[in-house]
Amino acid sequence: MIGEYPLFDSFCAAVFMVGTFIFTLGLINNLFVYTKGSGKGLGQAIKEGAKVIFSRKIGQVMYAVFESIFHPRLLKEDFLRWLAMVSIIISYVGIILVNHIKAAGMPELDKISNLSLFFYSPFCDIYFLRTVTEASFNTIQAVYAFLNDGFGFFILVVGEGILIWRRFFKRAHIFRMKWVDIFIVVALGGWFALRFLAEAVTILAFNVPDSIASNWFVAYGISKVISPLGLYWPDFYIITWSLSGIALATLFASIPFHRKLWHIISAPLSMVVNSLSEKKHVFSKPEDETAFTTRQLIEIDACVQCGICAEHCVTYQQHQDEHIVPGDLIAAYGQKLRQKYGFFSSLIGRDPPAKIDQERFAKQLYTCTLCGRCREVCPVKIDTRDIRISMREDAVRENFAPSAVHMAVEATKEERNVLKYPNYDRIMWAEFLDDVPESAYLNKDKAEIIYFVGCMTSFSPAISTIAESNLRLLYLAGEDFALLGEEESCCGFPLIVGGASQDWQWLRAKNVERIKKMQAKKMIFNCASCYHTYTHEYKELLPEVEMFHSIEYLHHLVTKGKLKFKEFKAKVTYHDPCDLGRGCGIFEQPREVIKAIPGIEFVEMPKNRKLGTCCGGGGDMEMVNADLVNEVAATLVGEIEKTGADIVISGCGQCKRMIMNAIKAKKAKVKVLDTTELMLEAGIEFEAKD
Amino acid sequence: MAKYKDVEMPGDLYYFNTDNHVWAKIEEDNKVRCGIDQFGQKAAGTMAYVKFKPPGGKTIKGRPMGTVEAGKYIGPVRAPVNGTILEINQEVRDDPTLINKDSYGKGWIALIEPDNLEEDFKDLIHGEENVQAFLEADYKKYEEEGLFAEEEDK
Repeated sequence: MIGEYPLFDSFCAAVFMVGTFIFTLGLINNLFVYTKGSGKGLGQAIKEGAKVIFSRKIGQVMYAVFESIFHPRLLKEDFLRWLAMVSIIISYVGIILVNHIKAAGMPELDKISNLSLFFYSPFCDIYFLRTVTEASFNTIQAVYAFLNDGFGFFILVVGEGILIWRRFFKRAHIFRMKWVDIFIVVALGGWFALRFLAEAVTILAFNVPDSIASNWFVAYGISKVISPLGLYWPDFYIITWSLSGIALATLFASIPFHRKLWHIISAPLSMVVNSLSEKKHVFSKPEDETAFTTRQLIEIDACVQCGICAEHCVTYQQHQDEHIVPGDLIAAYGQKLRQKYGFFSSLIGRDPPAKIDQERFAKQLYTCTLCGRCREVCPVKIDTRDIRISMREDAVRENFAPSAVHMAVEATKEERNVLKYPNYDRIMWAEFLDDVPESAYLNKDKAEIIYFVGCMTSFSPAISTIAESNLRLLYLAGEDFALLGEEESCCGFPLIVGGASQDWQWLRAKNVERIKKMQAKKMIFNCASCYHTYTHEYKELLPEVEMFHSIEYLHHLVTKGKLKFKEFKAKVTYHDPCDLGRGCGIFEQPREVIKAIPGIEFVEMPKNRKLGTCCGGGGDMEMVNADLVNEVAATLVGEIEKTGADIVISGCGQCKRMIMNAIKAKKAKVKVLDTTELMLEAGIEFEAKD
Repeated sequence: MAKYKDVEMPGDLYYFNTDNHVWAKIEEDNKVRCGIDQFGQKAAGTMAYVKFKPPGGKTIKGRPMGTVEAGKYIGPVRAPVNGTILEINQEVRDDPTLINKDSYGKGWIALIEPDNLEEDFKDLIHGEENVQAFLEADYKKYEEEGLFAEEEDK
């Protein structure tokens, strides 16, 4: 068909075609996982996808595409890894485009269809180098040759070079190396190495003049190195191009079958889908196939186990157990989901994972504080916190969650709190208040503001002083407020993060009913987790109620000039609670409130705001591994000590409790206070209420 | 003295069979001194924080007169009698581990003026044999269900 080697020319394209066919089967397999795994049919998934893609969010989509190519988060983390990643992405995209444009313009290939052209395009240099003459060679072809070898050089030398150096020499990877990692490195670079070799052999076999061949600068260099071997190059011409074809077909065919290769497609897809999705957890229902949404199933496949999540993980830092970090769990879950919902599994059938795996999963799943720092640093923006909650839901649904979760569910049924503390004594802490009359906050039928105290603040003797200070502040500010008292129920947070997706809604209904009955217009929270739950899960049922964390309330008073401060000399730092900072975006208000007090020297923690270190007290980890919680808290106190602060302020009772414990254990010379406690300690005075 | 494995419970004290094992002792003028027994502290773990109703506060039998937070437990300390708190042990407030170290001595919690001592003490466990049986039964149950704080640590 084309030139003097028609059978051979078609062989390379045919091999690539077979690879593409296998790729297509793998693609179907993965689409099965995304649709069947979320309980949606393919039609429904496509319809929903189209609805999102054609929504008016093109700017977000474009930015997500930009991020999926240039990975700004990875650049912040590690320049070399970023360089490797970006070199590979840009070079692969570049070489595909260059080859296709070149092939489309070649007269030798103008008789074949556009579809066939796709299969011939990676091998267009076979024909080009064979037929080119000095007379026919022009500048455009020279640019093509330069780009072709330039992109290949970047992939092989820069991208692959850095990957190989990190993986095999520096051994910088968190996760243990598997055979598939070696395969990926070889597959990604191997086809280019063989292609360069084939080009070099072609230059020798067809005596391409130096003035032309030198434009393929890598192949030309190789030809100069191998030329002295004096082999019969036309024979090797066929062998090397064939091997290059087989290598490309193998790489292409493998892409959908291993998550680390499939990531090439799933990562950009996941980033685009994520940019368009509402950032809200979707609770699974009993009738759902799994606890995951289609978005999450794509995210699970987008993880390439880069290990950056582990580098920022407070629990991993304690014992370097790779099995507890998102990268490892997601890989294990991805495998499980493919086994269960893939196209091939539906044809041939697979056994569900063994019981021992489930127990291992459960232990790993709950060794996490759900602090969400991994979500902030993940280069492909996987919502790791949300996925772990869904994994926990899966564990509860399949009945292999730790017994502590079931005990918590049972405790709420009995006492409307997970501690099984007698709920009728929820406000025992208020008995220690001798400066606020009970009538100011209890037994009211109506109130403008409801102060929602939360379980830990109500029950823990370590932190119930926070409830006292919040209540005093509201009283001193002259607000019309009330407590829900024994009518207050757990907000549901420990059950939500524990994966008990069906067991917390009744608590919400109880709280909402009471709040509505009291006709409250505002709610104030001192607990970051309660505030997170209310603003994320209650708001739609209480649209008329404004919700404030006590820090926001104080900030409002400060900015309106309602507070008078006395001088308070102290060096103070602020700990960002995960559910308040990363979870609700409240970073600056607490700092502004603290800095408003004259005499305070404010210092930042080494890691703050979105990268702030967790106290260890979140995500129900205390229920399953209290010792690890203490270790995480000790790390945080170490960071606090480095600031030299006399006082650390937190916006969460549970954080204060954890920090108190660690301070006590380490005998550290620092004091921890809630923001409201600092205000009272600093001696504020209120302007008269309007 | 009733004893089972590592737990001792003096037979002359009265025990309120609640979730954290409260002991009570009748002192002069029929005042009641109370605290958490050795079994209760073993189940809860090392005491970290305590908070009790202040002197003058009323107690209702079976309802919390304070709260303790230990290694593996956060919960109420239930009053063994109806009455009025006369005194709270300040040393325990400052060092809650006294409850672990000396449950029946320096680790006492409150001194209460009871409203009706006779009536309230009727169902408390008392006497060497009764206490021994109570201790053994609860110990075995806690062991079987892994409820002791130390058991969880292992």
